[in-house]
Amino acid sequence: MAPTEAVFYWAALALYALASAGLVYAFVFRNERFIPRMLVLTFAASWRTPALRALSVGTVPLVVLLMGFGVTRNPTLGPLAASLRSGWLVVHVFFAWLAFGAYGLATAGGIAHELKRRGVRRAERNPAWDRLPALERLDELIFRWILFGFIADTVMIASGAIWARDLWGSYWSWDPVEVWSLVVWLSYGLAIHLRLTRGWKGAPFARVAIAAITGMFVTFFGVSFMVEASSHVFNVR
Amino acid sequence: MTRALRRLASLRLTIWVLAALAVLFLAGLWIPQKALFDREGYLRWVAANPSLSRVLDATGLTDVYASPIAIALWVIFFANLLAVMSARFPVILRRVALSGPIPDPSSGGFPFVRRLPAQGPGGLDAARVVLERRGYRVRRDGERLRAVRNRFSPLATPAFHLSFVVILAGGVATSLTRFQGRVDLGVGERFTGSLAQFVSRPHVARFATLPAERFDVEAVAPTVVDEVPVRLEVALRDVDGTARSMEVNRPHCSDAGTCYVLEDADVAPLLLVLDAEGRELEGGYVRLKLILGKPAQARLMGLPLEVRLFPDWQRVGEEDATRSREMRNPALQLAIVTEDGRTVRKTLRAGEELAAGAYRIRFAGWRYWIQLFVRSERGLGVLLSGFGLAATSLALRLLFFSRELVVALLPADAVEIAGRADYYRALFSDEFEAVVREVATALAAIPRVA
Repeated sequence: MAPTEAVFYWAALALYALASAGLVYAFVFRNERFIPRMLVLTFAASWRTPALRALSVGTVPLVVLLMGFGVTRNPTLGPLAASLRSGWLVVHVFFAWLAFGAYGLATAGGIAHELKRRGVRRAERNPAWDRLPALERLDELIFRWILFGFIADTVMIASGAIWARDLWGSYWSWDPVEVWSLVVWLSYGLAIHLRLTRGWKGAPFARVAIAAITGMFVTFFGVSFMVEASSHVFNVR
Repeated sequence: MTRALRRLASLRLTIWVLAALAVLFLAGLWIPQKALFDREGYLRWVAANPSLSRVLDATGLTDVYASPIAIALWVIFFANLLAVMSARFPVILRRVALSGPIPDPSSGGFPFVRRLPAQGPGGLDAARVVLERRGYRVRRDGERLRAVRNRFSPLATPAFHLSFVVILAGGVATSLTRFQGRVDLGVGERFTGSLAQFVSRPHVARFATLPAERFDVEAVAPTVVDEVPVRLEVALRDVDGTARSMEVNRPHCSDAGTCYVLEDADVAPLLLVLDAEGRELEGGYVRLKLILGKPAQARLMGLPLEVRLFPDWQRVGEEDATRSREMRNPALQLAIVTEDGRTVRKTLRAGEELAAGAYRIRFAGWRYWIQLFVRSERGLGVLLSGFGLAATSLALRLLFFSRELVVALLPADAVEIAGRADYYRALFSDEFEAVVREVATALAAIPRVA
């Protein structure tokens, strides 16, 4: 069923792209629907590694939540506003997807790590845990995803600053979304620091990976609900 | 002194400072910020909460990002960063040096150790070939080899921390050289660079460059598709006659480094006040925010006036309406309170008049006006280089992590291989096993000495 849905989704997106200003802009219109697909695609790409397959269990709740949010959005097709017609939009949004996708995977890894760690301690051992990577390897994967997300996040913030300078005149205007992007960036920076200088590994680091995603949700969803004065509009129409 | 330096270099301090900054930023979301709200809105909030606003203002919380608390926290953060780096840099330099005694594989410190049979003294040379083929830099000292891959990766740690200082330097440079202000110009008007022309007092930092350009706004051409403004082009002409243009997302930047960013465009109706004999008493283009369809307030001859624009006017029943947001058939709905207190309302097309007591208001025409954000600053390149350095350093340090192998020839016709890697023990174990397999194959291929 999933491959059939995927075929219909990508076909619809291609038609959407043809009817609008371009493929990348079509993705922007479907931000909240595209991110979960990227998560799914990441796993499809690593399908040859059996240990990674089982990790998709951790991402499924996130994918379902995001897709559920996606279907509540207005599907009307419309032209792209002048403010969004910039090459920097492509760079900024692409690296935002990479960063948020990687952070999402790290969270999923953290959840999987916690579940497996608790599961293997039980007297009645569930063989399903053997399908997940070994705890030590999972721990390193979480760290690498956070790291990759952090690098992509850095490029996202920098490209956004360049774009903002041309659009709003100032590369940084302490907009709520900018502030929370900085908070997210600093949080993951702190997670990396805790790992490297304090040796946080295993369960504590997995919990950090789970908790740190909160900032991303505040940035992407929370600020839109809480603050009206943001220049960042995720629901582009 | 040493103890104070140790505390300054502690991770605990980093965590506290970052947590305090996060709390401060969170407060900035709830407390109205001077920089983010319009002046009238902010003053309304101050009037509604006089004592609270006084306290918040005094503590700098109505401008949290530039408040003394925020600046103090940033100072501590960077002091902490420099203290950490000064302590770690000599250690890192020692680590990347390939020289020095090669450790014994079985001395501890190597999580992976294997022993392989070897035929004679050629074992080390065979191992060296394998390691060099795998990208390791190899040094031999007597009966031992030391092989390192991504040897300079640890240097990326200070480079990453240096990036914060570069970002700070860029940020300080841009803020010390910043000129920024807003100017409203109608089509046909000239920008003279005079500070008096700006909407409000511009921000002029200590080392700012004032705008030196002089140009006229020649034309404004918006393109609207399905009610969405998809393009806004503005034609400019310098006083020397050179034609320029700008768009949303494409500012006009001069050689001197001043950029003119197109922020907004709207319609300025030409409203004339006439007396009973038709003599013009007052009038001019009134720059108003009308294009989105909301009513705007103005004053003519001291009388309050409410103006609403219908860019592509049509009558739907008894109501005024617009077919689109394009200026195809503009009409103005005027409501004016006359001297005797009556409100007179009428919808006018270009050339039509409204009788308001002793006066007549004529809608004589219209033109576009634009709002420009004028800015100049230096150091943005430095700031962005800081981000570039941060991203590159992280990738070099943590994705291209350094790995170290030590190979020793043992007296009993055997070689011992030991390995360790930064950060990724589990991932390195795969590579170590592959190296061991290849070295074993190479050793087995050495011809047996008779």
